[in-house]
Amino acid sequence: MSATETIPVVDLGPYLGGEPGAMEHSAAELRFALTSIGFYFIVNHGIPAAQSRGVFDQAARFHGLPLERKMEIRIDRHNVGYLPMRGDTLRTSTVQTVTRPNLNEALFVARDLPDDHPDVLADRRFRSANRWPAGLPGFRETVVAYCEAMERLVQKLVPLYALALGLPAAYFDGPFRESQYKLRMTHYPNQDSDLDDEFGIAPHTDTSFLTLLAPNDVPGLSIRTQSGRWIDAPAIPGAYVVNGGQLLQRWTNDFFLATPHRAVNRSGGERYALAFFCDSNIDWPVAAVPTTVGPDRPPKYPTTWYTDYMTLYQKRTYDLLSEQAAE
Amino acid sequence: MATETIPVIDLGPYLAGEKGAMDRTAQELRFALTEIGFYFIVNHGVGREKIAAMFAEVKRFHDQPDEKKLALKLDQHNTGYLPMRGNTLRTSTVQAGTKANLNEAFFVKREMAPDDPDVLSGRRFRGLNRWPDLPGFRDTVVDYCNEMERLVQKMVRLYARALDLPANYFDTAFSEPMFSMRMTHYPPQDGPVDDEFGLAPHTDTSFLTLLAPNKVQGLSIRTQSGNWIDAPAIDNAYVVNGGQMLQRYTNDLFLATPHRAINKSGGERYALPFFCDSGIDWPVAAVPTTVGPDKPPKYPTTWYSDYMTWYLKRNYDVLNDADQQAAE
Repeated sequence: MSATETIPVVDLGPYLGGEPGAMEHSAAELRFALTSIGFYFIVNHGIPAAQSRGVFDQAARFHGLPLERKMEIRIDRHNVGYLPMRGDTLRTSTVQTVTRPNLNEALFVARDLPDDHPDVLADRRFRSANRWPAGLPGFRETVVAYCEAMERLVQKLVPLYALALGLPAAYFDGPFRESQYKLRMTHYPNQDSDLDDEFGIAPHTDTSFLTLLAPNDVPGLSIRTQSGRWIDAPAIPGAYVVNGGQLLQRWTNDFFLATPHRAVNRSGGERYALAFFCDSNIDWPVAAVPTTVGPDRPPKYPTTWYTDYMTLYQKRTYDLLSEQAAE
Repeated sequence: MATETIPVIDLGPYLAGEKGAMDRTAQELRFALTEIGFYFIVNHGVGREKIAAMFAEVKRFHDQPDEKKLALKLDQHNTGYLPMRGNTLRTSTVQAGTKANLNEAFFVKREMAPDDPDVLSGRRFRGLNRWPDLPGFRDTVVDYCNEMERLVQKMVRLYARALDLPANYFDTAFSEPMFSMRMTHYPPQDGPVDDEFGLAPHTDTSFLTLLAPNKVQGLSIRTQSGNWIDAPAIDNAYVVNGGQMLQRYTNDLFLATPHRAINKSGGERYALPFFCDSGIDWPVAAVPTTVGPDKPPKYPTTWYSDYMTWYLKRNYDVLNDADQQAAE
């Protein structure tokens, strides 16, 4: 496995345009990125700049609400709703132990299930109705449309993951037909202090199969390369940043990386970020794909499911939830 | 908890979409596939007239003169005519060194378009079918294969649930399954000859095999206790079993049970097994609920083409001849 200190840029244009051979070509680039650094940019991804800008505007609008309004939709056990500033500490981080609580506030939105959906009625964990802020006309429509656009983009990306793993292109179609996702709309206030253990978001790896971070005019993301160096993600206009997380490691028996990253906002102004975390269907087993295991290379992780994995993870990470559960 | 009886599974409620029927049927299927490796299905939705039409066609095919049949001699795609005693089951782990099988058979695969890229590139197991000059034969057989394919696509949802997987787990793998329709003729066998069979003891290679309801008996299976039992005659019931690919998919949780055929009916016997596997490009490996760090996969991941190439090379005399021809 070769390592690189540069985040590769993958041009999705030819693949999305259906050019012959482009799928295999892009898949090979993606394989390099995910085995060598764990992060890549995508350009020509088909998401109009106006659409992601519109969601940034909504994020600013939401976080501009008074705290008590935001607290009305405080984050719940489904991990949807509002997470206040310093509401979480990354206790499960394998990257850096016990930092200060994260200096950000965030609104989490999941698939917008109807109130009469069987999973909602059954109060199935991670399958609830969203918690929408009152008095923000157009907010919900804008955010839901964006989530749907992200989901479609993921469905176009997973065939590249399949080919990158030596699998048929359709391999992930089933698990990603109705994926589990969360859009995190984060506000990072400017950080003046020089505390070296305070972060907008402390070093961590994601849990996701893949994360799509919207193009951002305000820098703040840094990633740790395989050599152990922290590098700042460069600003590439219009490019999404993509990375994998712990469930991608499990799907690939650690063949693909879950690279540690962090965010600090020293821009002097507010910073907003839009991270779309995506996983396979809630009922799909998460286990190493056939090309990454064999009699002499057993699976490193037991088979898991989204709910089991996330229940464990959330319990350890979110102070707020632990307090609520203890109440 | 092995059983000496082949379970009968009523697909009616499941196929009708009755609430809870899928999981209940899946449990029956799990029992069958872990305890004996064979089961019958009734209320499967395949019309009696379609099955009867196929039996008429298999007889019609084998009634042709040898030279007509030999004009369609089995090719490298394993489609076409396999003459009497054309194969010996060399890879059998069940019984070694038997005589050549006393049957003749005609093999049909998915009916491909002549301009399909796989046909044009000569991709193995994706060739054109070889049809006899018998009006109506092709339509009947293709229609029946389509019917079998649709039934398999409904049944794999039961396999998924039986393995504690989401119901649609196998849907994409079986969206264009590989299949082989074997239309076999077993002439009557007079004497009890220990090492001569219509079809010697063997396990199938398939994920699943659907054997059409047959009025003439001849199938026997070996239970887990080692007894050979005759499959009973159940009106309009298909016999279903798994093979080596199913073992691989399930890390040996599901059985591939040895079976054999002998025709002692005194008359001709025809048989119509439909062998079905996942798509040609789909990896065959243990599903997530059958493996883990402490339970590694028993078999390396394989693919249909690799596995079948290995298997056929060892079993079909006639193909080895063909290989020699190719080498000439």
